[in-house]
Amino acid sequence: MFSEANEKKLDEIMTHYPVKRSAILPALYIAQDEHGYVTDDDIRYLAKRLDMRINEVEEVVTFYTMYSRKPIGKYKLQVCRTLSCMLMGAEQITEHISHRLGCGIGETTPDGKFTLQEVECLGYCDLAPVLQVNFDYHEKVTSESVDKVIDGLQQK
Amino acid sequence: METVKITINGQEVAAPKGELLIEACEMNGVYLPRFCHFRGLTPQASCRMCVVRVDNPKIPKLQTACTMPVSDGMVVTTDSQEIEEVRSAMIEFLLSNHPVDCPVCDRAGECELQDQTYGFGEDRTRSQYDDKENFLERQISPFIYNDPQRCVVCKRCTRVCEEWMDEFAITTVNRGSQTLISSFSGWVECSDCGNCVDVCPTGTLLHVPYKYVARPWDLKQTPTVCNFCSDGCSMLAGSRSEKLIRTVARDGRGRTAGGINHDFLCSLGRYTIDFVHNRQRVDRPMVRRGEHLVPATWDEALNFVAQRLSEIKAQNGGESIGVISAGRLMNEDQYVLRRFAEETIGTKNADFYHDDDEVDLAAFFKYGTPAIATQEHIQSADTILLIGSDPNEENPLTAFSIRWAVRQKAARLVIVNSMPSRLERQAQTAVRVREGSEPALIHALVDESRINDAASAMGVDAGQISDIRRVLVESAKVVVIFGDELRSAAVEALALLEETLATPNPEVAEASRKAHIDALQRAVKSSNSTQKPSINENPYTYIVEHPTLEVAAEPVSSATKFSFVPLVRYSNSMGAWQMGLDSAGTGGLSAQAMINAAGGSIKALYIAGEDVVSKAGGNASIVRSQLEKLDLLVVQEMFLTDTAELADVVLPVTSFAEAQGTQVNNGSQVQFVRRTIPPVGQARPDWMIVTQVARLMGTDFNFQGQLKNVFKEIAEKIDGYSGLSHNLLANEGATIIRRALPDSGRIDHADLHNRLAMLTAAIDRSVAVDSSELTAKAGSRLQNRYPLITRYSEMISPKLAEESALEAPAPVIFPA
Repeated sequence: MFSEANEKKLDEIMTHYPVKRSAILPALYIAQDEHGYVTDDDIRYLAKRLDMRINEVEEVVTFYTMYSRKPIGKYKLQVCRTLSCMLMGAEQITEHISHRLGCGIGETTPDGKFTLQEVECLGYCDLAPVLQVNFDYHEKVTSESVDKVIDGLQQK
Repeated sequence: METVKITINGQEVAAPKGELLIEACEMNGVYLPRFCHFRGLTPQASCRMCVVRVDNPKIPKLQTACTMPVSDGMVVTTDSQEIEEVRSAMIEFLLSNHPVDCPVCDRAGECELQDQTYGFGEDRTRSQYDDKENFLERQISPFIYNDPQRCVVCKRCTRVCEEWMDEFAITTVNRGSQTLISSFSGWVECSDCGNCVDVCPTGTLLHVPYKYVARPWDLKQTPTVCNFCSDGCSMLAGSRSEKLIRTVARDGRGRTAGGINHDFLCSLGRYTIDFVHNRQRVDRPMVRRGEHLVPATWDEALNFVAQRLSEIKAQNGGESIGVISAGRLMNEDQYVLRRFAEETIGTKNADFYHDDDEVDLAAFFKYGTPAIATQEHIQSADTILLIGSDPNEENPLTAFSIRWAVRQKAARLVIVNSMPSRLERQAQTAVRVREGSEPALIHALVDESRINDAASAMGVDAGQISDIRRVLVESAKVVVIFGDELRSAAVEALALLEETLATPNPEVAEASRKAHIDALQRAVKSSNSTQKPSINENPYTYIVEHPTLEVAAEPVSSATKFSFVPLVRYSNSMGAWQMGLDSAGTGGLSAQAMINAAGGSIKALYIAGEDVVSKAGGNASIVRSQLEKLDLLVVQEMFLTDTAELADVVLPVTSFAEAQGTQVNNGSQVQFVRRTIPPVGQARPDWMIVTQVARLMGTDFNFQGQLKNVFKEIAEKIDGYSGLSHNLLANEGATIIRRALPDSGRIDHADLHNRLAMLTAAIDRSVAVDSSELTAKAGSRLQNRYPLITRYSEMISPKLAEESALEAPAPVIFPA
């Protein structure tokens, strides 16, 4: 199902927990690494490996915003929209990115590079507004700083 | 039962120890609003509607009554300014995303959100209408519509699916305001029990057949009893304009009302009822004229039947006529048929149709009536031994009760079966044996010295069998559930279990039970979760550490250590037996023997409600040619079945919805079936037709056309029925028929052991043990089990045929 390296990783991760099902979150990251998003087959496979029901895995995948169930861009731009960030102008940031990239919320740019998402609290209220790019945080962002981040990513 | 004193709103009341506060309040007349709390489900505490103030300096915040067990001296306030405000705010939150479409919602009128908004909410909202999340209404299974926007995310449906049905077919996806009830593929693959729809407090989940059909306040609600399997669920039949529209569990929505099935119904009881109004119903009597059956008046048809029967009786004697009834006919019908056979016709050949698929009742009742377990007994059993059969697919309520016992009461479930069963997931011990070798288990249980021999016959380890034996010996109360796999001597030998597996002393049972609970609790702790412990590497068996949910119910147990549930096949097989309409009782030919003798010693058959041709399966053509040899074939039927088509006369009868009567379930409980709608066409009840034929043949049963007179006679003549009446049963609900316990003095031990040894020796040891995983779709066997009726249900039948052709609808909506 996964590449040999990832299978090994999964086997290793499963030894960390007393109950197999507890490995579901890291296991899903492996799946996402492998395919870019969590596919139907990934869910079926992990359900089998971790002794869970398919619906349970589905529940977990759809609950967390770090997992995606459909193909997404290389960089996932997630703007926090919860209270502190919203008060500090998160809505304008989202709108700015949307204009800049020409894609709506939840959409992916035609070149497959960026996906824009609005998410709930990222836990950085003191440094609001916050933009999360894949696993990296950018705090106290402004339209200008966001532009810089996107410029940098586009050149990569 | 231990009680504690608590004070609710200044009034001191008593409540069962360990009971949840919300239930304790309700018992004492204080109703607390709730969405997520539901009797029989694990606490969820997500809706926050049942908040109360507990007067205790250590508990500064409002508490959810649905998660708080009562304790002695607790002082509770359920109604104050503060609480009112919280409830009103909760309602406002719930409504912030709820469409105001009550006028087109099928739940309106019995919607809990409606009621509670009316009772506890405000008449205005501060949320902006434009900001509502929009989700499209969609169908998620052949029987279920989902309108996600109406959802209050109480998770009753997903908990029912998981805890009651052990199916986990629906779940919640996404989170926050975008939470949906859905599943992995967006299409729900399950046994279609529909319980998730019934427990839904809003119009989020709706029954497809009930959509836009009627308003709940327009329905005439009649308590009645399901007519399919032998569990006999009580249900509430809703009819409108003389049409049966829907059925729901009689206790409905968590209220207690004396039904035997809590809020449970299965797909048959719920969705198959449309056969009642199938256009193929025979609506008038039909008489054969040459090749064809042509409509006739009742007078013509009855006179013809009476005249021909009298002629045949005069010519060949009464013994040349046979009477066959169906196991689903009610007690009154069976009783009248028996009198008809005995007095009017003068034949011993009367039998209710049963073949190898039916439990061997003659053997079971050979020495008297063993203690029979009801659903309540199963639910409070210490140990449950399931031999053969698969209640999950055949008797869904029994399966529900088994899961309930394991989950809520930490019962030990031991399964010995030759085929895969989903119940194995709940089992403490599940042993897969050779097909047909189940009787060997009984042999090993009643005779310890034969364990090795029996184990090799079953194709299992002798150790496994001795383990089972040990568990049974150490248990205080055992319910043995068995199906048609046990026959003759193996069923008779059940009467020996009581003495051979007696518990040495109560301490042994207590210690064993304690060890079992300790093991479960260790499993709970070691799995780092109080919710999903792993027992026998089985993550889906739960044990609630503090089983607070059902403490209110007095533990039910039988007087004997062993009690039995014979999983008889039809809704009233047990009743037919009790009425004596069985060849073993009458001493005549069995139904099959009568058919075999057709054209020979049997010249005429009077068949009430059984399609003997289709029943014969592969032998249908033989049965058909046998029936063609008869001089007269009279059939009482709802439909022109394969058998009815061969008849000389077809007499239209009422379905369970149009008839009254009593029926007996597999727990030997008699229940009253009320008439929900008037007869369709000119259909008449079975008992009435038989009485009329009998009168025309010169015997007046003197019932004066009154069904209650039939039952009066049953109460006088039939063992165990004395003192009962229709009125009493209508008020009391299910009533247990008690008869004399087996007389062990009558058992010829040596002979019985001999015959058991022969059974064990006869087992074909070359058969491989089926160790396959369960793959068949859940519920499919159930729906195929009653083809005679389900094929006339437009709701179920196309589904059975087209299931595979159905395509999954648009996938689930995922958040951005």
